[in-house]
Formats: sequence, C-alpha cells, structure tokens
Amino acid sequence: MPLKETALPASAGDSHQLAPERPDLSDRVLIRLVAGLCIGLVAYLLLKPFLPEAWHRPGSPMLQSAAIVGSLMLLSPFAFWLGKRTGLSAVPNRLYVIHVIASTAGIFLVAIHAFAGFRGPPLFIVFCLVLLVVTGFIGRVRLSAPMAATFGSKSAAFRPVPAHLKEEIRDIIRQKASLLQRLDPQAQEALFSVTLHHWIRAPRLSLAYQRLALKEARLTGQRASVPPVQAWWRLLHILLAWAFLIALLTHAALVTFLPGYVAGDGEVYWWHLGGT
Amino acid sequence: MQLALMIDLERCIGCKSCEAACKAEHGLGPGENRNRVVWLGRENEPGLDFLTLSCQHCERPACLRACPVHPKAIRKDPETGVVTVDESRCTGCGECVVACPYGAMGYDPVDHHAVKCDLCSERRAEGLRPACATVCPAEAIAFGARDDLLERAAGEGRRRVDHDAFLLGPSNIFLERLRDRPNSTRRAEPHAEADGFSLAGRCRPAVVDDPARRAKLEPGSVIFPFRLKRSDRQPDAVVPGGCNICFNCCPTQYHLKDGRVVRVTGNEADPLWRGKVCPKSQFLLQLYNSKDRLTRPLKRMGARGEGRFEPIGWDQALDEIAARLSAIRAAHGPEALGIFAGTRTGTLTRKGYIRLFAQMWGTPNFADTEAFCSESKNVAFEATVGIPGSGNSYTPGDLGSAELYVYMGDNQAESRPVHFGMINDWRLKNGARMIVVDPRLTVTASKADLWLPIRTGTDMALALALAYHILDADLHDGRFCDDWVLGWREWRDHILARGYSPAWAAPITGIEEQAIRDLAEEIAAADGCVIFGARGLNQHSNGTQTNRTLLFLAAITGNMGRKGGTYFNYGTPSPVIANAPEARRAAVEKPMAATNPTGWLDAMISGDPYPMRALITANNPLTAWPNQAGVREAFEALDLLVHIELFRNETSAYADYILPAATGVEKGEIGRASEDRRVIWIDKVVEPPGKAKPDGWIWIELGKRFGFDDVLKEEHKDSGRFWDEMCIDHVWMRGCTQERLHSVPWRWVRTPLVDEGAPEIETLHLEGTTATGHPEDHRFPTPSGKLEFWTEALDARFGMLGLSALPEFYTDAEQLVDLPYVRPRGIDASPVRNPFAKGHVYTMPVEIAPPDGEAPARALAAQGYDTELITGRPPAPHFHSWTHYAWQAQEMWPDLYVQIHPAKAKRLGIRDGQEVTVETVRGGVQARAWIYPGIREDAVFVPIGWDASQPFHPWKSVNFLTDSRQRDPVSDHSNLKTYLCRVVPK
Repeated sequence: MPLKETALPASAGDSHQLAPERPDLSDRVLIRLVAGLCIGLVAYLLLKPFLPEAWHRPGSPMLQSAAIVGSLMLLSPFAFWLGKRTGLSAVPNRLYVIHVIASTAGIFLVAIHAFAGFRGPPLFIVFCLVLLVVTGFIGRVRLSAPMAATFGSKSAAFRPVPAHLKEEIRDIIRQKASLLQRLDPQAQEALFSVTLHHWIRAPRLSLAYQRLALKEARLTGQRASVPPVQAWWRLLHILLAWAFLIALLTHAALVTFLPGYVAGDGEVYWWHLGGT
Repeated sequence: MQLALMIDLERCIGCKSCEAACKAEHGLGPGENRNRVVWLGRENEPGLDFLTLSCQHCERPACLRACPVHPKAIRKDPETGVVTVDESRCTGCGECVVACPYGAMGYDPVDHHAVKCDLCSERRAEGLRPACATVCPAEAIAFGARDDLLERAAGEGRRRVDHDAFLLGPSNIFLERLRDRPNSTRRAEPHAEADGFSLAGRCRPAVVDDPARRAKLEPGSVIFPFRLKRSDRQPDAVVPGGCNICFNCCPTQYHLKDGRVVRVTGNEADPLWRGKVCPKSQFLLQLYNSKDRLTRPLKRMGARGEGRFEPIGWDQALDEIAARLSAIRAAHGPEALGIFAGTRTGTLTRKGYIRLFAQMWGTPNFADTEAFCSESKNVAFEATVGIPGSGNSYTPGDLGSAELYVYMGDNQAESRPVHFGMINDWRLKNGARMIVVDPRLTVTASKADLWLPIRTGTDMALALALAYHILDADLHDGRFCDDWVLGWREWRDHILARGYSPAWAAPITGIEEQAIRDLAEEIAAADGCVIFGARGLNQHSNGTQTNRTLLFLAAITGNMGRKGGTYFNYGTPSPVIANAPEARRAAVEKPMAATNPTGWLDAMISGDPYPMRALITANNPLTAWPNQAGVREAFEALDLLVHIELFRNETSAYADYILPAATGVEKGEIGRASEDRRVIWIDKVVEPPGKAKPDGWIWIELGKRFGFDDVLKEEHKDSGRFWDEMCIDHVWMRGCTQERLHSVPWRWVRTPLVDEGAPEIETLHLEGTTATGHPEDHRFPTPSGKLEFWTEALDARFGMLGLSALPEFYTDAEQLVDLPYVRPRGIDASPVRNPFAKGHVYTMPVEIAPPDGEAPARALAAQGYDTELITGRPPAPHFHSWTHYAWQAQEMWPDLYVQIHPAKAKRLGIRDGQEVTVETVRGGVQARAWIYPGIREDAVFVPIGWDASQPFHPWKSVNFLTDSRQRDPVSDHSNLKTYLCRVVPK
C-alpha cells in the first residue's frame, strides 16, 4: 500500500503507553476463595456444637467483634466503587482485588456471627451476602467466556432499523447536548457520561441526563443484545451491595442504639450505647 | 484526522488471516478478539458474505460512555479519533461489551479486562500499517485517514454500507458488494439486496467460530509466545524465507528471539506479495512452538493401533530399522519396501534425499501424494503441452491481464487465498468477468459474476459441450489451431460425431443448455481467458481426460501460449530431481506395485503382485488415503512400519518406530511446488524441538547403515549444499542456485533459469519463443513442438489402456443419474504396462461401460444411498492435518462438518450444527451439519484433514467413506470426489 494512504499525524501511535501492572484474581483463585469460604463455614458449623458458650451467642464479645471487623471489611467494595468513580486509584483493579479478598474474609466473620443466632430480620443481610457472592462469582468466573464470545455476535447495527428510531435517537442527542451545557459545558455529548462528581454537584440535571442516556441505551437495544444474565448481573450485584449496606447500617444502629427493641424479651448482653 | 479501516465486502474472502495477524501482533489467546471475520450465509438462497468486524472507532463511542470508571478506561484520541482501552484502568465489568452495538469490544476471559482494536498503535508509532491490513490476501482491508479512504471509494464509484443505525458515527467504512460492474449481467447471488448490505436474512453457520467449542482451548493450549508481554515477544532478528505449507509459496519473514520463532509475517519487501499472507503461514508459529511436537524417537510397545510407545535414542532406532529392513530385503527383495512421503515432508526430501535412497536401495515403490492431488493433470499436461502445467505467472501482465476467469473445480479463494486475492484484485481493477463452475457456492463462487452449480464428476461433459459449441459455431481460433495444434481436426470431428452438444450435456451436468452456449461464446470472445482447474477435476476417475478436454478448449480459443490466457491447474512444478550415479543405483527387477500408493494395499495384505512387507511413511496415510478400513488392514499386516512426522497422528499408532521430524526453518528447504514456477528458499534459522531431526538427516543416517554415504553424504545434511550439489542438475534449474536465491530479499526466483545470470521468464510458450531445452522453433516442449491433441503415437498409448486419445465421456461409477463409467475389462484381460506412468508399472485395461443394470450406482441407489458425497479442502485456515495442532485454527473451524442443502436437511429433520452420520457402503463418519443453500440439493460436502487422534477436536477422517479402487485408469489418480452416500441424523 502506498504510504500516502497511511499518511499519519505526527502523533499517531503516541498515545500508546505500556500499561502499568494490573493486578487481578484468576478464575482459579476466585474459585478457591469461594470454595475456601464455603469449606470454612461448613467446618465452623460442624465444629460449633463443640465450641464454648461464647460461640453460640452472636452478641458475645468475640462474635460481636468478629461482626464489627467483618462489617468493616465488607465496606471495602464501597471503596472500590468510590475509587473507580473518583480517579483516586490509578489502577482501580487493585481495589477490586482488595474488595474480593476483604469481602470474602468479611463474609466469613459476619457469617460466624450470624450462624450463632440464625433467625430474624438480620437473615436479610446474610441473604444479601449469599447473593453478592453468587452474582460476583457468576459475573467474573462464569460470564468471562460468554463476555469474550460476545465479540462478533451482535447484528443490530447492520440491520435495517425503523425509520423513526434514528429520529428518536437524534432527539435524545439534542436533549442531552442541551442539558450538558448546564451540567458540564466543557464536555462533549459524544464522549460524556454522568460521574459521581456530577451527581454530587447537580443531582437533578444528572438524573435528567442519565434518564436520557438510559433511554438511548434502551432504543439501541444495548442490554437486549446480550443474554439477560450478562446484561443484568452487574446491576443486580450493585443493587444487592447497596441493599446490604442499608441493612447492615440498620442492624448496627438497632443493636447499638435500640438494644432493648432488638432483644425483645431476651437479655441485652452485647455492647451497646442506647438504653434497654 | 480520523483514522479508519476500509473493508471491501467484494474483496473479503473470509480467510481470517487478519484474525491470525491480530492475535499474533497483540499476543491474544483463545476467545480474545480485537477483530473477527464473521461468516454469513443466507437462510433460503445461495449466498455467502464475510463481515470483518473490529472496533468502529465511533464518533460517539457507546463503549466509552458506558465505562463506569473515572477517568475513563476507554478514551478517544482527539487527533486520530482512535478509541483505545487502557487495560490498567479497566476493572473488567463488561459494560462496554454490553454497550457496543457492533459486538466489536473484546474481552480477555483470563485476565478479565476489555480488549479492543486500537489500529495497532505500536505499529503506527513505527510508521507501519495495522497488522490486519498488512496481511490481507485479498487486499480487502485498507487503512488510512478516513477522508482519504472516502475519497478513494468515491473515486472508484463504490457505495458504502450504512451501518450507523444508532447514530454512533462509526469511522470504519464497509464497501458494498458490487452489483453493476461493467460486463456483469448475472451474479452468483441473484438476490443481492437493493438497499445495500444487511444482516437481515443472513445467518451464521454454527460450525464456524463456535464459542461452545472453545472450552477445549483451555489456557494450557496457548503456547509461546501468545499471551506474553509485548516486550517478551520483541524479535532480535528478522529473516526472510517462505511458507512451506501450500502451493501459494508465500514469501514470509521469520521473527526470532533468543533462537525461537516469535512471529511469522508476510514479506512486505516482495513487490508482488507486499506482505500478504494467509492464516496458515502465520500458524507456522504455533507449529514451531507446539507442545504436541514429537521430540524423541519412539518404539512401539503395545499392539498396532494401541498407541503405546517408549522413547529410544536415534542410534537404536536407526540400527533396529536398518536391521529389520535388511531382513525384509533378504526375504522378499528390495521392492518389499514401500516409501510414502507426502508433501509435508518437503520437496527437497521427496525429490532429493528419499529419491536417492530409493534408487540405491532398489525399490520402485516410492510415491508421494500426486496420485491424490495432481497426477491426472500432470499426465494430461505432459501429453498435451510437454510439461506438467501451464507456463503462466501470477503477474499483472500475465494472469492479471485476462478478460475472463473461469474456475472449474477450483476453490482457489480457500485453497490458495493469496493467489485468489491477486486474481480478484485484477478482476476488479480491469473489469474482468469471473465465472465459477462448482457443485457448491464456494468462497470463490461467492465472488463470481456467475455461478454454475454443476453435478459432481461431469466437468468433462461440460468441457466437451463448450468445445462442441465453439467448433460448431466456428468460434475457435483457426490460425492458432492450424499452426500450433496437432490433431485438432480429428478432435473436432470426434466431438461433433459423438454429439457432445450443449443439449446433450445439459441433463448430465445440471446446467441449462443456454448457459453452456453462453459460457462457450464468452470464452471464445474473451481477449484472454484463464480457465482454472484443480482438485475438483483431478480427483475423479476421468481426471486425465477432463484435464485434456479443458486444455483443448483453451487451445482452440487461442488461450495457450499467451499472456492473460491459459488453462491453469496448479501450475507447473519446477523439476527438482536428484539422481544417484548410474553405477550406484540398484537394479530394479520388478515393476512398481502401483503409481497410487493405495494400489499397494493388496501387496501388503496378500502379496499381490508381490509382497510389500515394510513401509516408511511420512504424513498421515491413516487419514489421507481413501478406503481407511482397507488401509488399516494393510498396515496391520506389515512387518515394519516407520513413521516420520512432526506430530503423533493416527498413522503413528500403527507404527513400529516413530521418528520426530523437523520442518521449514528448522531444517532449511524450498517451499511446495509453487503454482507459477517460483522456487522459494527457506533458510534453517532455528533448531528443531528436542531431538527432532530434519528428514534429510534421517535419510542420510539410515543410508549410512547400508553404505549409501558416498552419495547421501554427511555434508548433505546442510540442505543448501545438498540443493546446489544434487538437486538442480536439470536445464530448467541450473541457474537456481543458492546464490541466486539469496540475491533477492524475497528469496524466490522463477524457473526455468538455464544459468545463474538468466533472466526470469514471466510467460512460457509465447509465439516466437523456444521451449527451454528444446530444439529451435519448438514453441511447446512436446516432441512435435506443438500442442498435441491427437497423434497416432498418443492414440496408441491410450489404446493400450482401452481408451482413445480423443476423450470420450465417462464419469465416476457412483452417480445418481445414469452415466457411463469405466470398469476393468473382463476377467480374461491381462495387465498392460501403463504408458503414462513415470515408472515401470502395470495396470488393467478398462472399458467404458454403459449405465446398465450392472452399474454399481443403481445397486447403491437401491440400498438408499441417495446423495452424492463430495470431499475437498476445508476453509482457508486449515490444510490437511498440519493446522489441526494450532489452537487458533481450532478456534476458527473446530469441527468436521457436512454441508447439506436446507431442503434435504428439512426432509431429514436436521438442524444447523447438529451431529449427523454420513454413510457410504464402505463406512460412516460423524460430522456436524452446516445447513447451506449453496450446495446442490442432491449433494453433500465433507472436508478432509480431520483425524480421530488430533488434540482439540478429533473426528474420523472422511476417507472412511471413500474407495481405493476407483481410480483414473490413465493416471491412477484416486476418485475422492464422487460417492453415493446417505445422511442419517444422530
């Protein structure tokens, strides 16, 4: 091919930089972690009848401490969530690795706390944790191959589309561009998506923009273009994480500040701040 | 300036070379894609298209906007518009994969992050084009500034595909298939869309790129240097050479690091190739580094076929083999040793080392794959032209200057993708026409202006009818015929008297009478018509006569001995021949058992005509030879079977000794028999794996045990020296020295070269020239200096076999319609010496039998064998069994398949991708169904190359269905193309 055809700008290719090391957890490590968690919990349940009294009371100093440490560890996913959205981490996958390892340990600690008194509303927290593990595991281990196989599997862009579709998308683009002048005047619609910074600074505008973005994604059939599990696992995982966080905070607030309500007719034997 | 790729749907042949290049460039593993060629069939009508998909570098990239990371892991370069992913910032959430409506965002399933095309930023930084654009055999991928590409497309009057359904502003450009080219009245796809390319109504065959089959390509399958860091793959040397896999003989470059091959690319210095190369050449990388390679001599421990071996040393292996060979010779004579060397073994080995060994040993039974590939065309060309092929070249001035290309039984786009890319390029640039005659809408046919779906095995009838119409209508080139053709009038009178008219041929071939007339007139009128033939003609029991008839057709239309016109059937192999001194040749007392090695089976099983007790074989006869059940029985009966190969395969399991061989740059050799007389030299630049040795080394060492080392000398282990000293003592070859070969950076020269300073000849046999090594005025290298259709001497030779020099129509024995076929003469007939065979060999004379009640086809039809089985080459990434050890070829085309027409599939209740059994009277094989409207309804197609011992996707060879006794009586070539079968859903 004559060079003219490849007459490149002087900077062509300059953007390529060697990527810094990106830590990751292989499928094998992830499987071992989950397997280890399961084995650990089963072993704990088998050993539990032979353990001293303190291991049978979720609020005992040891198990309450385990729950507190575990809960703190289970906050690591939120650090990951925050880190990847704020630019605080140059290599966000480091936080991913931390989130998986810390969460696994956290789940173990919270679980042995929970297994001591496996009943009542706190079960919802355990339920969330189980689903978080399942969705996370599916997303990373089971869906990696289908994710790779998505390459070359879509066809919508090469099929005729209804005449009105392009007009609707064009209208959305117009609205987004208009909103963007108020939300982030320096940004280009073509490359823009709402960030945490925008949500904090202008939540209503951000919400309006996000609704338009979602509408465009719907019209272009983004999530419908892949199997439902692949389309929705991550959203479900995030929703579960938020549900877990709310439930955890509620549980912590109740046992700390309203121990009498939590204990009902029972004994308030755990560390707390509120009256009984 | 927005950079982009421009992909021409008219040019793309779906070979997936761009995929191979991309993975090699970026070290990608299984499942990991930055690009992919998507095969698209049609649901209800013949059609085939290919969509080369990679990132579209959109103006509004959906992937970028979907990325939840801040700052984004995906960015669009403000200057070049290239969309890139920063893998270090990617968290592997897959939102970009979901968002991209083109499905062009890749994902690394091992390290869990997005991967995508960045138009090869590292290559661009060095001023190079993206890897995909560099290798594309069809020049279907152009790279540059988008505006320049658009200007170029507009200048060529090309329409763009509208693939911006969602207003993302894709930068890549797809050029529509051509519909209104000059001189084009009918296309292979009669229903090309009026509104442009669309995926509506198209479907992806289940058997290609099947993600479910990738499970077998676990990370352990990935070999050096894939998935290594770029810095670990950076070459410290690049040496030119060539690909030693197929007849394209592509110039390549071997990129080396620390004595290992880290990359195989095309050679951009070559003015004709300019870096183009097909996926097979690139898979050599996986061949050299495969963990499945044989690395030590092995000795069988268990029963034949059991596959139990123990490693032994070379000395022990060769000593024991020599001792056993000596004992066999003492008991049964030297002819009791058969030697089979397929083309993997290398030309230098077959025509050099083994030939010398066989001459000194004294066995006439040395064969290669010619009887399965080319022997019928060799015989036809030698009888007519004087050399075994055409004298034309793949150059713009020669084959590139034709007005019409007619392919008959030649799927060049898949068997020699680079050569087809050249032809297609010239067709498009020059406004030439392309017509394909084939039972299938092959990739070649999918590019044609016209596809004529012929009944398998009846090309001779078509050729006769074309000639009939041309001669009857006085459309032939009378001056050329009178001046340069002997016996053309006899032939004219013969076909007119026989009534081989278009009306006669129409029901035989399944092609309408008028279409035959039109084709004849088009061939006669074209100022330069190239008729391509190949295995689709050769692999029939009428292969020689079909080839002769097409040669005659080309000649009477003035298309022989000119630029831009010829009958071309895999070209002309250069005469590489090593000969031992007369005094050192052992006397050969008995004739060869048969030219075709399947004719040796009786000698192995029952000693007919004499015992064959030992076989030294390369390649994989237990897959490649027809009649696999019979071949197994014969191999079990041997006293000694030695297998020399790169990988263990089905043949290995039956061997007494397996000897690990070297190949290509591990040993130094020339490429295969190139199509257009090019000899390409491949230097030895790396060591073979483990204790593997070059074939030449093995034959020299074995020869030492018999005292052959005065001819097969120790110093001849240096292949370059062996070449100069032993292989080029022929008038065509004397100038083809190592020095001459190394004088050009692309390492090939075109023969004949009478001396080292002789100029290369682009086109042989032009008017006013003399054939190399022949008397003055002998334009063609025949005894008469003219093309010979019919002479008394020639007729006498055919007469010995029961045939005539004037081809009379017959076809293979197993046909769905009643057609004449050949059968051995009655039991009172005696074998006759075959006057066309290169060696001393006897054969039974035949007779052309009418399709009466004794016809085998009728009996088979009565048993329910209601379908014509065609076998042949699989798609471009595969070549026999070589590529089945390359994980990437397995990722592309993992499974043995059977192409079956949707109407037949519907009747049988077969779904696309479903496993079915294909049965002939000889056996059955399983394969996955590919429901394909582009095949005749009464035929199915099963490709060759799979065997049941391959590492990734083993399937039984299609040759369990074929017959070793159905052979061309003239050339002894096997019929591998027409058998009656039935398809049974599983």
